[in-house]
Amino acid sequence: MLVTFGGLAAFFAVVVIYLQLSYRKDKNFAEYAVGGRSFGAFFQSMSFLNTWYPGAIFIAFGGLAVQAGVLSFYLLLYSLLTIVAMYAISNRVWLWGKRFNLYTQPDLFALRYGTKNIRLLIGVIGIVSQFPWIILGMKALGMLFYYMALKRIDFTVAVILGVVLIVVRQFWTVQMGMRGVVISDMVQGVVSYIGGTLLILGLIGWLLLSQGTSFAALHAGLFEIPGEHSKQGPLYLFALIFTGALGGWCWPGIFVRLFTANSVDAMKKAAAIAAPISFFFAGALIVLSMLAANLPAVTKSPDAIWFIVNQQAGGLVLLSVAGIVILASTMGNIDGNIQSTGAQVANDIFGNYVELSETSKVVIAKISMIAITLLGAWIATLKLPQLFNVAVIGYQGIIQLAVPQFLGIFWMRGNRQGAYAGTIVGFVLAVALTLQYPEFIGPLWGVTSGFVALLANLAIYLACAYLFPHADTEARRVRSLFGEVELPARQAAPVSLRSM
Amino acid sequence: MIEEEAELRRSLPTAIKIWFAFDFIVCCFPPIYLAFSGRGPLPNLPLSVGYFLFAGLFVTLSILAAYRMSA
Repeated sequence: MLVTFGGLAAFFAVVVIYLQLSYRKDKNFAEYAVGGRSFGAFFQSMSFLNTWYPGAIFIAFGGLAVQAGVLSFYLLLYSLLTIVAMYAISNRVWLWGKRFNLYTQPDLFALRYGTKNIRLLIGVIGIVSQFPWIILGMKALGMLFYYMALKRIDFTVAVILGVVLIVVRQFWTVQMGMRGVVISDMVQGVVSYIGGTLLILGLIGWLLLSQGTSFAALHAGLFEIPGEHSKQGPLYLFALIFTGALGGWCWPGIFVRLFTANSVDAMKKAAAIAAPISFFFAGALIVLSMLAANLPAVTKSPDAIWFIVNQQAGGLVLLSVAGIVILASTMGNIDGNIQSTGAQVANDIFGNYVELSETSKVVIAKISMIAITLLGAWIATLKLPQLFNVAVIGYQGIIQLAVPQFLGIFWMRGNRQGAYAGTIVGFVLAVALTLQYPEFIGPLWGVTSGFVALLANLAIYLACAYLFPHADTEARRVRSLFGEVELPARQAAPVSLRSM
Repeated sequence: MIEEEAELRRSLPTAIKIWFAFDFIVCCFPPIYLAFSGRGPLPNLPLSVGYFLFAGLFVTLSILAAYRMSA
């Protein structure tokens, strides 16, 4: 245990020392919430990856690949399509962010739809949907600690240890805000996705050359994609990839990455850096997990594939490295989610009703982050069998933001009536359908509840766009946002987002 | 300001737009992915694994090409 926990402790210390050395007092809320829009392409790419791929994927998708085979490759495809979406929207979103001092995803909705009150709806959906995933991230650390302790401690104790570690780590997230998140994401991202990919490729080599495993030895069913005669249906994979790709940019912790870059070019270059890393990382992880399905120990405990393969290949030292990779990716994901949630509470909930000074906003964001951390930590230590189902409901709900978000960015005709009505109906329908069909809707060829709700959401949004055309002043304001007419910034953002 | 407005109006090159659209078709269109279901004739390189890796590479290259064209 000294080797495994020693490795984790050493890595944790490196991250904390690096953060402490990089400490700089934030001058205002812009610095605290979006790091002063000062980060270049490499920081941006690592920050995106470190928020996108939590440590739990080594457990969840590793286990899924062992049990369900090629279906788990949907991780690879929807992650890459999310980067395509990032590339496509980065131009307009970054420019709007800089010109109108946008700090959060709800700020963008308020600007585009010309009503600051929409921030409350979008902010609440984001916070409520993201919170269960923060708790799941904390619980994943419990599994990490359980295996780092060589299964010699009780699992509940392991969860408590993991929660204590992540609570301590939040001291620097609260203190340093977005700057701390992005700076630590760089270190953690390099370890997780560059170091992690090299480790995975090495393990694939070990499995092929030393263990004699191969795809040929696996059960033929693992290579089947769910089709017409499958349990799920032929549209299941489509729904997973499509909603996953569009939904990726609905998460507050992911979306805010678009505001932390120092230029449009940095965002686009970040996409060009993140895509190949993502391809090798996610592709290799699924290949490794499928090949490892040949190992008897993995067959018995599919979720522990990452720990089992590393320990068998390189003993306690490699197990420790495996733990560091998971710790690095988990910290990045939880930090990003907690920071963005705190910023939204201050900016979009309190800030929506009370005129707050820059200092007050930072203070409220910090208090919110502490409260979210402690509440999440407490819930993570409870035994809640329905927690994962709640998280899935949150996922199907939050992707409903995709309709007003993407159409709002690319289509001038969309209006606030459609944004409100479509989002509310989509969210309620997604929750109701997920309660009935948590995984997929069999009678509809396997589409997910979130996809059906997205269709209803889209229909309402489009209907409102044609039923309630913009008034002349609003049409001119929206056209100015798209660069089609010139209008002073103050007139283009009549919602008084903040002084410009 | 004028540069920003020009940038706001700037859209992706048509070739990249088409490639991005094909990204979604290659990854999400059921007749395509179902055509590659199963092990296929090469036991050590299953058809479905090859499809997913090819689709991933196709999307990755589209992003690299888009950045190269914009740079």
